[in-house]
Amino acid sequence: MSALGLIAGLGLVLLCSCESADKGVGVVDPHTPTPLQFEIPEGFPPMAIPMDNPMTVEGVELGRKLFFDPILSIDSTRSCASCHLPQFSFGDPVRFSEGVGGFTRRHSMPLVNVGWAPSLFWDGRAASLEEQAVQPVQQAVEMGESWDHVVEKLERNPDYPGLFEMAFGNRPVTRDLAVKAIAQFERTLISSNSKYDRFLAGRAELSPREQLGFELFNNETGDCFHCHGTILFTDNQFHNNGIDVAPSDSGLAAITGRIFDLGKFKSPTLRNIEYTAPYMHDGRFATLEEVVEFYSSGIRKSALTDPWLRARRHTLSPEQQEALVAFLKTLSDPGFLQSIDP
Amino acid sequence: MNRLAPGFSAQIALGLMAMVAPFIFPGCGDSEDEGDAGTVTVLMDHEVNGHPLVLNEARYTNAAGNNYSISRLEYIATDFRLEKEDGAGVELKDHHYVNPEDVSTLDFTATGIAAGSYTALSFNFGIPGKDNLTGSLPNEMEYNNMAWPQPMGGGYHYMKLEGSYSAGEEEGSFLVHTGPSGGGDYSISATLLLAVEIDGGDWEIRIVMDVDEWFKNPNVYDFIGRGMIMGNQDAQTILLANGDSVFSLGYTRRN
Repeated sequence: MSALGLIAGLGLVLLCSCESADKGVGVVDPHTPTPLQFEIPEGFPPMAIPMDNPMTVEGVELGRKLFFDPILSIDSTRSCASCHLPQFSFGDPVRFSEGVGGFTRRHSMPLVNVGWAPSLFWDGRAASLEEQAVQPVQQAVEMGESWDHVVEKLERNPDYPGLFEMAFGNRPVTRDLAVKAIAQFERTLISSNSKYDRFLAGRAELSPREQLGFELFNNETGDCFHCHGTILFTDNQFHNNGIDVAPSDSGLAAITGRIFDLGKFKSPTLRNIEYTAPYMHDGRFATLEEVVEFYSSGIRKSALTDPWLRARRHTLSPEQQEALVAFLKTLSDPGFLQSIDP
Repeated sequence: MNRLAPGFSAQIALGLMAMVAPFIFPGCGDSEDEGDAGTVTVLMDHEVNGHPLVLNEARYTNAAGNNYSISRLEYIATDFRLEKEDGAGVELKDHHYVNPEDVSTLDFTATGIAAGSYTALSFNFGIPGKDNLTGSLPNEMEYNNMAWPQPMGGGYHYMKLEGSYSAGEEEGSFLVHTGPSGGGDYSISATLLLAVEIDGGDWEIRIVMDVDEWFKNPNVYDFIGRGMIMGNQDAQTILLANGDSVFSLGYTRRN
């Protein structure tokens, strides 16, 4: 070894000493899960993966099985996928989803690119996918189950104890591990191959109508970009969009207790919006055309309405509305719908 | 086991390592001025007519007589520098996102500031024209949400200042979104005079944005008739001129 080689070698050793020192040497744990090679699409921001829930092949597989398994509900009839159907971009084609105890009061949010969401639910009450996954099981309307009972069922199941061991090592089955696995699976629900993505990459051209829609989307005439901008097509923030003057659903205000948050809901992503009808937090609009018409001329302005929407002066012509809808459909990624099997 | 090549001794190897180590581990070593280098924390504070900014709930009155409340204030400032009288200076931070709703954005700390007498703090409000390019800031949510759309020229907003107002019978919202409207450069270069003697201590420098200054000095900015202004270069020009008096030095102190 040359002197420079020695220096480089020493440098590597020193650099490596900055890493975690908890990895044993020469000891092979038969239950060590396999780190998942996780590719972030070009142009997307880095995804924040919790330090205590790294992505693993076995964790994602366990999460996938749990997501599609009705074992999580009290009568074994409803799974996560009952209200988040892959063929609808992990949304639900009905206005309100049916659970074991009736119907939900809000429309199911599609699960697409949720790994980038800093908060979950229409009112943002969960700060992580792990936190989010806890709730539907316990909701009387949705799955009506207790996590203690779910854990009992999982422990008695012939498959799950082994799958948990594969995913998390030699640890008992717990609620926290179950939701970690579900969250890992949900972080893999990435849509990034729409016509719009190919357009950005120079591999597709927009039609003249789609191009007009793209420009309207991104200027002050259409002004969609403020709430639905970025590569994710959501600002991940909360807005009162003027859908009601006196909201019957408090939205974010129920979480924050602040009067000025009344009727604010999270901006959903517009990726795959073509597949996720009906629209709005209460699914009141059946088509994209209805949504665009609402933003063109139907906003009910009040002191609670977001300033962006309250300031709107433009009414979009029928041609402009058609162009916007055409552009929105370029955000469709049909491959995403078929990429996830139960 | 490998050995050193003939002609090289262990002393030479260690000597070489000592020479390259500062480049390999720049954060681990101390500069020659170890004893004198200081730490500077810059605090971004916000007022309205000299009163603390209270989002959503407080009502203010501007020079045009509009009663208004503020629901959003976000902005990007760039190229923070401490400068000496001879023009030499040291960079404190390249870019910083500020949002009073997120206290983590209201300060930043620069370490290893060389000893000396500093007479000014300078920074840009926004991003100067040639540098305001889409993708030039970190691919993070707060910066991405400040993007100026590509069809409108690309780059980033300098500021989103929003709220509601009433003026007589009229009620509405204002959207003071400043940025590279029409490809122009409406960023502001701010220089705040101060006296900071770095000699190894920890310093705080408080910068104050008085929001109401955007609307009164030297031009009265009336919310009536001005909704969205991203494409309104007249409004951007007014705000550019008013921006000169928006920032002031709150205090400097050594902790």
